[in-house]
Amino acid sequence: MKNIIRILIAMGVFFSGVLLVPAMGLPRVGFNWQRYAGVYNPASLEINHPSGSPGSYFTVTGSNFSPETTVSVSANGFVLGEVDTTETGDLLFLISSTDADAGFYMIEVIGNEAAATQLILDPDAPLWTAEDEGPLFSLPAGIAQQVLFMPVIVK
Amino acid sequence: MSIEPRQSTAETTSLPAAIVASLKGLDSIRSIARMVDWRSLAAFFVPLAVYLRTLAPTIYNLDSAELTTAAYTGGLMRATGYPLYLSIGYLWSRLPLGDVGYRMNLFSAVCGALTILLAERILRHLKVGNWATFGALGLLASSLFFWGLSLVAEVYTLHTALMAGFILALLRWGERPEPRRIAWVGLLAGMGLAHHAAMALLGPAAVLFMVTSHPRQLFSPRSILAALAGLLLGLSFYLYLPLRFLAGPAFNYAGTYDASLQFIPVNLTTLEGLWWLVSGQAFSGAMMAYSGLDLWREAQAFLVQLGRAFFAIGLGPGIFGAAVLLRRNWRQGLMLGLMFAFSAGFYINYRVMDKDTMYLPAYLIWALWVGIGTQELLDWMRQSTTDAKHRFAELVIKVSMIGFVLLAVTWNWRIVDMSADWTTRTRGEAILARAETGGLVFGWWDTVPVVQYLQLVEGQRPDIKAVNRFLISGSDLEYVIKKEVSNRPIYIDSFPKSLATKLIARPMGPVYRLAGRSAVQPAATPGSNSGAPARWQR
Repeated sequence: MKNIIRILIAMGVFFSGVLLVPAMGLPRVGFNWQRYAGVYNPASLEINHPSGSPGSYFTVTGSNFSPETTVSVSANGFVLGEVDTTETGDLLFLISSTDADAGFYMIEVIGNEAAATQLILDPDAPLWTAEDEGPLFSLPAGIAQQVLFMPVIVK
Repeated sequence: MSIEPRQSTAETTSLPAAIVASLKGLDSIRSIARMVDWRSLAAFFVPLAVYLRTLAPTIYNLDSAELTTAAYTGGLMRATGYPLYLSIGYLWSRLPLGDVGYRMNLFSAVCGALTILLAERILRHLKVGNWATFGALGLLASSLFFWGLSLVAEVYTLHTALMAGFILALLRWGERPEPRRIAWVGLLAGMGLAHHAAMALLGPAAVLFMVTSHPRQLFSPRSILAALAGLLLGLSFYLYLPLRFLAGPAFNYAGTYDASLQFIPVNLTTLEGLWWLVSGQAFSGAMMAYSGLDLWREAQAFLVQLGRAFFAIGLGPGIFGAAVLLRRNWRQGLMLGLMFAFSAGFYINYRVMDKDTMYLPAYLIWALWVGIGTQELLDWMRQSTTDAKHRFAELVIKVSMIGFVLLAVTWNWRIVDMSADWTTRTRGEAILARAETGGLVFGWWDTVPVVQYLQLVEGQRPDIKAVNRFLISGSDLEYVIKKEVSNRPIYIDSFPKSLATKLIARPMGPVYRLAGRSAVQPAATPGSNSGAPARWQR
């Protein structure tokens, strides 16, 4: 019996790593220059419409982030959630403004790199419907920033 | 060992002379075969054969193109200089095999196989048997990044070969602390530093091992002299840098361009300039870049990478092997543990996108632990009983080892195989084919080094001037473009958004041809014909 336990322990130690395969996965992406070609291009975000009326949907796309990483999405410092980058370091997510107040929103994506874009919810702007599919984040009420444009006096 | 045939004269006299000669020959072959160290031969030639089959056939991109061009032309690299690689590469690139790009790819393959051979010698020194060695080194040799970086011109497999040699030299000195052996330690440390500054990460562990193993012998005058002589000989490769600086090489990445497009090289004949290059100060902003939760996230990413590299099966025996070695010989265990921690820790905390190519030193040590751990498990089971259960369990482990190595080779082959990858040459030739006479090409690492390779190594299009954007500031680049755009053709790989109001960019093969807005119709703006927002960054 003692010998069998010893054999089982040895086998358990030997094969223990295999149990982690579901969590970590198997190798998928190797070394190739295309993967690192954008290493010196800064991460950037683009939004399909810079402004829209409350209730609009916006598509945010990002590029030049670290490939296959999870990045955090926030609006005016309020964390909306996380999204995964692709093998080429791109990302895409949608923002719903159904519950949001009119005002200014700074959308930030932070991972190994950080990038930001902005949108303005203006009741007079067009209402945009969702134009893409992807992870959807909702802007909550009460976080909008109200921007006051001061007149500039030039002598 | 005798190599005489065993047959007696009486037995052979009745046979025709030709058969006798054949039998003698066969016996000689058998005797020689007994003398040959098949384990070492296999450790070198089996991975080499796989690497040769999957080797990139010509120049590869990014660092590979830079390294190859610098090595062949006796040029200078960016930090950390890599003088040993460039010295060896200068000679190696003269081999009459394929094109120069292929030759330097081959150099990586040989260094990769040499790493496996030296790791085999380390495991033999640590009394690891054939099966465990096969499993551990099979997983290392076929791991995605070790394999991939053995197929293109890169610095990493030479680094791991030197590192394996250094560890072996330390273990051999630890076994018998003779001055001759410490001279090897010094030589490999010096050569390692002259190749890659990351060798310094092994220093504290090596010093601790030597001080705790044989302090008296270590500090004897003969040992100190021998170690210093070896170290200085290894470090002498650094002389490549000032000597080549004085020669004014055509390929020089140790410097910057100014706004008049004059290259200002860093003076490598001064200690200040030399230190700037070899200490990697150009990348100092990326070092020790994380803290708190970010650092933990990076560490997690490394662990996942490590698990994938050893195809998951290497995790258990690796952890077990580290503990076993520490218990069996704490000096050796601590040395490898610190080397692993320093090598992995530095790169975990290094903010670069291609850091997963930099973990090979950590993988090498992990492979040693896998070998030790697997051997210990086999021995442990063998001690328990001699019955059929034990033999069956041992067989399961051995067959699993072979199975997982074969699985890793098969699985990774389709991912790493570069034997049909001509993309870099195609890209470089496409740029040069479209560039007009006297053109100016600006681009990052995937654009300019290959153009320079085609120019400086193969003699194509010497009329083109190619400038790596890494070597010129953004503001100087914009100044040069604005100044020169009306005088000569300018090409760029991605368009600075700040120039979008003044210039337009027309796609021309892999790059854009720039022109003033007044000179070209707006319809040529990239992306504008698709109705989609312009995507300047490709």
